[in-house]
Amino acid sequence: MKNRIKVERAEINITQQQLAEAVGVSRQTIVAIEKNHFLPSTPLALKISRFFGKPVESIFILEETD
Amino acid sequence: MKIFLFPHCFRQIGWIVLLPTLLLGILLLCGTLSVSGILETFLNDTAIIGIALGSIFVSCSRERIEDEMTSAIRLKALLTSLYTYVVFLIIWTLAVNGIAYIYIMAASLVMLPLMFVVRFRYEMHKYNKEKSDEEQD
Repeated sequence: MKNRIKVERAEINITQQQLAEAVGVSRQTIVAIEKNHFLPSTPLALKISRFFGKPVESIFILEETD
Repeated sequence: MKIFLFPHCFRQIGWIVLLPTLLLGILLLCGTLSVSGILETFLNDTAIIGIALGSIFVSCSRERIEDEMTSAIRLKALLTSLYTYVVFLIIWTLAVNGIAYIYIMAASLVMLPLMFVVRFRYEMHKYNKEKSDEEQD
């Protein structure tokens, strides 16, 4: 599964740390999610999407191999 | 699903308990420390309980920021340790016989918690070293 978190962060100019604090996780978790090393849970994915004010499907994209 | 974890401060307590009792256990197992009678029983019990408790405190204390990724790392470390322990158990059982097997079994009492500590702390060290490929002020 791919995600557009890095792009969305760049659009509103916030750091990984700020996003992490906003959704209640560590910065390393955000780094791991951006690098596709870790799949967030449904609540976390929804929190991230709500933070950016966009639908979850526009932030997290299901791939053919998933 | 709520999982019980000790408060963060228990990690330091765990290291303070684990390291000396681990050293004591190694000395007793190798025969470097020769004792007998009630003292032997007391030291053996202290080593086993200390290593077990210390390992649990070190591995099952909350991290500074406890989130779903640290939970996933903890579970992965536990699973990996369990697989490794079973593989070693089978190898020891097949390869070692006689009195030596008793020493191995004595050590294996605390082998799983120790493997868990090593694996989990190693994974958390890698996790904490995770650097962003870009920094913003």
